[in-house]
Amino acid sequence: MNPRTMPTSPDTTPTTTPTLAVNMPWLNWRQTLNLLQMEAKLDLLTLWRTPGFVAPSLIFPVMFYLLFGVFITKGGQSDYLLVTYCCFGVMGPALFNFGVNVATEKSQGWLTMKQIAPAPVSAYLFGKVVSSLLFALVIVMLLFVCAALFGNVRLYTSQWLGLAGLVLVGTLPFCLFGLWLGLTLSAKAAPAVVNLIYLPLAFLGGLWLPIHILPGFMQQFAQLLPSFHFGQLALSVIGRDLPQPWWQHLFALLIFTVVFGVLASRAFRQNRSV
Amino acid sequence: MSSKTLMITCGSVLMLAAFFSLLPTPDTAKTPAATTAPKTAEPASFVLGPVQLFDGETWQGQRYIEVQQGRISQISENPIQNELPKLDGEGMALLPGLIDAHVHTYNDALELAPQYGVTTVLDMFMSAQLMKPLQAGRDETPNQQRADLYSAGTLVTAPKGHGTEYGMPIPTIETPAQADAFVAARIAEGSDYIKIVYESAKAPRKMFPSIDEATLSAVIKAAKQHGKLAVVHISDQQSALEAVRAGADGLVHGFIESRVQQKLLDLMKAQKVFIIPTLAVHEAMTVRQHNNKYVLNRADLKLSANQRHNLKQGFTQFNIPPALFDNLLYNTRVMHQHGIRILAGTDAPNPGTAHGISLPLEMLLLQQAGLSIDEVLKSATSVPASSFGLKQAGLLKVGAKADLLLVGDVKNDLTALLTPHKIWKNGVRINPIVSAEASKVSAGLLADFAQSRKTLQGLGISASSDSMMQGQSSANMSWIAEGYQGAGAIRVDGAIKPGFSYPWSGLTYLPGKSMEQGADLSTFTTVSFAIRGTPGTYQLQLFSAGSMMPVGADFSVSNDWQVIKMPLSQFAGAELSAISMLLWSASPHASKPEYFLELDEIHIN
Repeated sequence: MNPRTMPTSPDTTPTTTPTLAVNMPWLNWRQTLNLLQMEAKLDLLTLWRTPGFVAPSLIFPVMFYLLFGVFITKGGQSDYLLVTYCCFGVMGPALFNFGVNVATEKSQGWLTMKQIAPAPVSAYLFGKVVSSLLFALVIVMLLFVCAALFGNVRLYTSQWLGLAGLVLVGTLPFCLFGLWLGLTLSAKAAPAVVNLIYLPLAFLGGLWLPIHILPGFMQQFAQLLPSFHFGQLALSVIGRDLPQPWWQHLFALLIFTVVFGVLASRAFRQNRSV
Repeated sequence: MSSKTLMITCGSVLMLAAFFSLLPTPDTAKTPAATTAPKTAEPASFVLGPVQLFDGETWQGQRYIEVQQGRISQISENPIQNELPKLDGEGMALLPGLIDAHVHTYNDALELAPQYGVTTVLDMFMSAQLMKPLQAGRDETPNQQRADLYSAGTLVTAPKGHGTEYGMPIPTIETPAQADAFVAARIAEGSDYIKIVYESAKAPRKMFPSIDEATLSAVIKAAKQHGKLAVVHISDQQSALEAVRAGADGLVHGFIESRVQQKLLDLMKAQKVFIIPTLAVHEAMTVRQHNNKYVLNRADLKLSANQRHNLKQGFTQFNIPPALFDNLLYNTRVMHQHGIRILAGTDAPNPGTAHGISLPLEMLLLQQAGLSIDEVLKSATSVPASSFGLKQAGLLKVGAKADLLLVGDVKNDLTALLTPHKIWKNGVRINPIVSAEASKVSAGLLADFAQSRKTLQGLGISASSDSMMQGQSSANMSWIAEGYQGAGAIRVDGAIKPGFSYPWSGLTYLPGKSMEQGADLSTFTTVSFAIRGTPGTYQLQLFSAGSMMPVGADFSVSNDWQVIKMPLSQFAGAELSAISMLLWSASPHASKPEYFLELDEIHIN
């Protein structure tokens, strides 16, 4: 993992406070690997034992896709909507695992514990990224099976792979967005606020209904949303994106990644100084 | 990292790889729409007239019609004055593009159909995978140079029932409880209506296993609940009666074994059941005169080798008495007199039929059965459109797609349909398909295999078996140094086993420069070759270009080399002007499946 992609705090002194960097001189690579593996395993276990997280994040995208992508539209848009519901689906674990769970763990003091423990906080965040990605992968696979069986979607293997890969990598800005929310929101407010952001973000970004059937002003507004660019970039894999160059979407997503990264790292420092 | 973690990692990677490789990919078979883009299309906006307009229901008299963006925008008694190009109708008859209510779509079916004015086809069983892309565009007016497709997709049949014998694996149904899910799956695949194959347990002759009456009823009920028509394939009166009783919306075949009884007539009338009698394909099973009379014996009709070949075929293996065809003509006439809707459908490309041209031939048979010319025209336009709920075909009115057929005096003579003057699909003129010339072959040696497996003429020789159709047979080819009278021959070691409906195993030789056009063997009289192998009877089969139905003749093989001379006249029905393939095959009736053959010195003279 490149340490620079994680929120870093530039004003730390490595000897007194643990930094976010992974290169810890007191751990060899085998120990580092064990640590990361352990963090990922623990976070995954935590998620798995939270049915309130597992069920909705797995069931909602599949249910919505079957409803809108297969039955209501009679499969006419099953390939287009597969892509957008994949985007919608993977945003869920990213926003909730970071947004809601970080807020909860912060209020329980677990985050402070992590911050003062000799193990780096970056390992904790790494664990969350891994578990979010694993959930995202399961969601994507479930959607692919539904699309192939019920939506009669046929894509080249390169497209199936490309779509899965792109959608997984594309969760990163939403992980950072979630992290920022989790660090700034209280544990009580987090679930409501994250929902309030997640669902409109998906709908207005054209992930529930194709963007081109929304009114013109909403299409204009969508340009401001990361979900829109995420969806369009993914749609370019099957050649169903709007006539707008793909690199603009990529650029927009990079900007969102940087912005959310900066916001999250600032919130992180504030949290520690409390 | 421990070895356990490593194993888990590798396992996960392997499982992911398996998952992604199992996801379905697009069928790479060519979508015909892309292959024949017209070079010069007349504008999709124009004014045509004066014409004698038959709008699908009645003759309207002399009219001018205006087409804009592929749709009819105006129909007028007077000349239309505007800036659009004017096309002279020369007072000919203008009909809606015809609808063939019973076809099976593969290869270039949709391109061949509009050559004879068939601009919409109702498919009654095709590959569900190929169907979806071909259904596209039927609600709009793209420049596509092909017919619009409506399709049943996969048919509903019992395990090993009719429809399963073509080597294409399809889902089957056994019990009424499966009906709803089965129908829902067809609709999810894109089926426009549900086609069911049914044969009563009391049917006079049973050809295939069939679903039972309870399952038939359940499937029809499920189709209706999903808002789809249920049409039934039957081949005898008893099955027809049970299908109508079960609530079928239509029958996609007539029956020839008996004359229709009042009971069935009353029931069909009361329940408004339509019928597609498919006279042409039944005529080809029985009388086999119709195609000769109207098409094959006419020098002025330009037919492709493939069309000629298909129209010459018949279901000879059934040995049906020709007189039974009169029953079908009678049944069609009486049903029509009782007000039962008759739809023109060909069952192309079954033996004796070809896409496009067989619809005028079917219409001529409907006239022979006793329908008036106007009723025949309706049976191929407005009647199938209303029966199948097609909103985009069968009627010429303002707003309809400009699927137009300009023909001579069809009002008095249906044979005018065999020489259509001009055809438009979505307002775009249909260009004639120019079939490429078959390759020329020189008399004498085709192959001697002296040095290698390479042949002297044609594309070459290879092993072939029904394993390519999921059959059980096998064949392996090798070159051997010791041939007939010295150097070199080809050897095949194989086994012929039941599995596919038409088992084969042996050697295929392609005499032409391409499989599509084949080679012209019409100037020759004899094919000869040297052969030895496992003693027994074998078959030489000739394939005509574009057709998968060979014509075969038997020959005997012994342990010693012998030269077999076969007159080409033995292969009656093969289109010698375009032979795509010769197949030396073991016989499925051989006493034991394993065999070997050595083949050398193939001559044509």
